[in-house]
Amino acid sequence: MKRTIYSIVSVVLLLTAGLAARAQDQDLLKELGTDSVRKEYVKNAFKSSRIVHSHSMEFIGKGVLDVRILHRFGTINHGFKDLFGLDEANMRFGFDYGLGKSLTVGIGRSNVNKELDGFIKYRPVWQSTGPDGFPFSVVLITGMTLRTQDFPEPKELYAFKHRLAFFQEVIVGRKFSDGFSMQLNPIFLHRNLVPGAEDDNNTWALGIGGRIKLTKRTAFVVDYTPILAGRQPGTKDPLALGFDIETGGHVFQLHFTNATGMNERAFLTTTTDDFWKGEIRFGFNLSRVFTIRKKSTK
Amino acid sequence: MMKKVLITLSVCLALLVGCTSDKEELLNPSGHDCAGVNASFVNDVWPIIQANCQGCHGAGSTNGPGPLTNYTQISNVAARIQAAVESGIMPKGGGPLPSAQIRIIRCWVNSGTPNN
Repeated sequence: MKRTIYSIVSVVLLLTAGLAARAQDQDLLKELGTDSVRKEYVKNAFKSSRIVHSHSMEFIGKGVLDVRILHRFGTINHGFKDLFGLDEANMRFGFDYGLGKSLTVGIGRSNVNKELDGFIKYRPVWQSTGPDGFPFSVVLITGMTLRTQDFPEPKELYAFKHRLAFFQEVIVGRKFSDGFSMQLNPIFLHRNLVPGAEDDNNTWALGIGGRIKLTKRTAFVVDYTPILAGRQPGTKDPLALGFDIETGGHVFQLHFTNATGMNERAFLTTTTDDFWKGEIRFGFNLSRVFTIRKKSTK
Repeated sequence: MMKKVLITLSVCLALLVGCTSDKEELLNPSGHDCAGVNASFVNDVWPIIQANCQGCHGAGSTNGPGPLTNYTQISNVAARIQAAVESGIMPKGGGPLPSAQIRIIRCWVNSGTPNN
């Protein structure tokens, strides 16, 4: 029953976001013809398409390929013996591509569980200023993960479907000023296979992310994703604090986090470290963008 | 505009159609059923921890939950050990533990982490 209610709420949430976006857009289009002042879309709410582990409301742009290399090291309380956790590394590499200004697709692979992931990210409502402006952006993301690591024996009990997990996410975000942006991103995750009979296949979380610009090229970011329901027993809420550093076509995101997971399934259901007990890891996201298709001159 | 929204929603729904809600414990009951399993810390759990965990979680370790070198240390973080081995994130570097060993850890935790 509980699961059914969650499913209904999930669909309603997605539909409401989409329809509200459409209604708003139509109103804006109607007004556009009568007003000579053009509306301007708000850009650079975040420096990257990710805050730390969560997607941000930002897009990479049409025809742009974003090569992403992510690392999470061991806990820093190792001391010098393990070079503050650097001896231990989890990584994900991925490729995001902008099919449009408000449409991105991406794939990636993490070494933990040898897991592939993919997503489609679409922005039906884009924050804009001017007479037709809209105060915030709405972004929809859908994606899935595929475990390629072997299951434990006896393997014949497992099917391909058990390798899959799916997530749906809505981001509602606003750039309040040049120096401050914030977003809420509820996430629904469904795992086709969970370990225990009492474990919930569905997990609900509410991501909260923010960015405070420090200088022209650096910003402080917070990415916190409390689990609201369906928590995997023994896991904690993922939390990351970090700095974005922009250098030319690169964005370095240096951060401290308790989560080793770098896709939605992983960070929502396998974060066993407790940030507040000092079980913190250093990590970085390296993003390098390449313009593959130049803008049309028409 | 509407077309794009509909395409996005269709993809979301198509992905949800591929969903099942299986539980490993029910899929492989013999590997999870703790009835009749009297998991002993000394004879069953300790050898697993010794062979698979103490490389990184030895004396003085500050990795994750720290050292796993005696009963108190292990029982204090038993639920985390269970979550880590069930999800496959531990042991680090190797594949997942055999299901028989995961079952022993699970049954030992479920029975209240006895020091037996």
